[in-house]
Amino acid sequence: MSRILVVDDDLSVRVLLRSILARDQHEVVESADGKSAFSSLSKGKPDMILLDLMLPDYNGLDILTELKQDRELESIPVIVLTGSADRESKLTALSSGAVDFISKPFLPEEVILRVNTQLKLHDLIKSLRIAVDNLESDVLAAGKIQNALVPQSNPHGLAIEWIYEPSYRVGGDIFDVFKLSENRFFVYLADMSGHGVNAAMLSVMVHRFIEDFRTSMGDKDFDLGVFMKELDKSFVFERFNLFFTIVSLIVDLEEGIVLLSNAGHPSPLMQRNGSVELLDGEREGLVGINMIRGDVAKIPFFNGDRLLLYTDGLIEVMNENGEMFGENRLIDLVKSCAKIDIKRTSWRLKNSYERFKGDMLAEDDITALLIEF
Amino acid sequence: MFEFRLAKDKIGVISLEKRARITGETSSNFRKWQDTVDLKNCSRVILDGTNIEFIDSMGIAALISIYKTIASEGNDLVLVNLSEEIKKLLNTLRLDRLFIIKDCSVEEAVKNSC
Repeated sequence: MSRILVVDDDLSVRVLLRSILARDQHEVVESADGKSAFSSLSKGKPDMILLDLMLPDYNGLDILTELKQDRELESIPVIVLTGSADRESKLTALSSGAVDFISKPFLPEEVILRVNTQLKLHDLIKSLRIAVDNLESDVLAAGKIQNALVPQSNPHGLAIEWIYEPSYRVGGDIFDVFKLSENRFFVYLADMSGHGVNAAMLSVMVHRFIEDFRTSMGDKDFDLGVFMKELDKSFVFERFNLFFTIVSLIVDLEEGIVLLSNAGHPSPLMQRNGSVELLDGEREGLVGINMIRGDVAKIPFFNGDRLLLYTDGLIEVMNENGEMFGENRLIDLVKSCAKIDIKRTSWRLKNSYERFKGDMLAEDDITALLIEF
Repeated sequence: MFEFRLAKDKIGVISLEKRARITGETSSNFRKWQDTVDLKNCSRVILDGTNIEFIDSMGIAALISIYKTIASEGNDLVLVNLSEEIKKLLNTLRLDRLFIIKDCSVEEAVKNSC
């Protein structure tokens, strides 16, 4: 049963519609002109309006336009009542937001059919809208959880800056920085295949797994090769039909070395004395397909050297012309920032790809970590 | 959007009807499509990359999923006609160790003459 407002100056039409609609237990509210229709609307929202286009005080099309501009009322479906010959106003009414029209004189069956169809459609749209709203708020909540997992502040003793931007509220990128001892830090950056909710859920699992692994192995004995092999074993492709890439490293400030393992991830950039080098030496396959051997590269560093880790979302940022931001632009930018501190370098990097993409949406999550030794 | 045909000796050939980007959405269609073809009984599967414009990580996941199906029977996945960018991506991911990547035509790959 629905509440239907019938607006028509012809009493006989109103009485007829009331009796037709009453057969399907619809409740009818009548208005003989525009003014009383608006007054009735101010008292309560009907589920539908049947609107005559020729009213003594108003043009029905003006009422329609006014309804569609009102945030409260615009969602009420309106079926217009017109004379059968009036093709032009039928079209105007439809383009002004009416959902259907009924030509006078009408058959009772036609009225019932059109009214019920539109009511059902409207109900479906409404429940869809509620479902989408719920989904959106779930995704927002998931995004908050994911955001709470990445570090909120710098671990004392390591100069590091980051950019973390999921493409759709939740993303498939995750990173973390742990202090293993006074001078040793563990850093990882991982990128799940895909983005959105399933990638985000996997990223949370990966994050959780790494925390557990760290606790069970102990910070003193943390071994990068063992860690990577364990990841590969635990996240086999068939489990989720997803994979991820990860670059992980141990920074030893006392020894002046970085231990680095790269599983299918874009090559990190090392900046030293104004030159920038891609660390694309020994690389592992991506995680989950039994291709990780546990190879770890040992890279010496000096005071002032910088290391940039990033996910492919950064270099694959597209501009309006379909060009990618690309590795070369990134290398040039890092070079040009050699003389400014890493906080400002990270701002400049963010500005730079945002300017590059302009109004285009980022298709993938973007994460970048910049470490200075 | 995907086409499958059997060449001689039960060699399966997968190709794209028209130029396309294999991304999240297409790859989920791809998975459904994959269930409709019998890759397990192919002696080898050749994927013709001619019409692949771009492939993202979900597309890669779809490729791995095909590979897993074929490799479980001990057979090979051969990729031909890939763009340089895609070849570079597969190399970054070290997938060139899993898939056989060839610079030749589908016909040559079917004859195994490359």
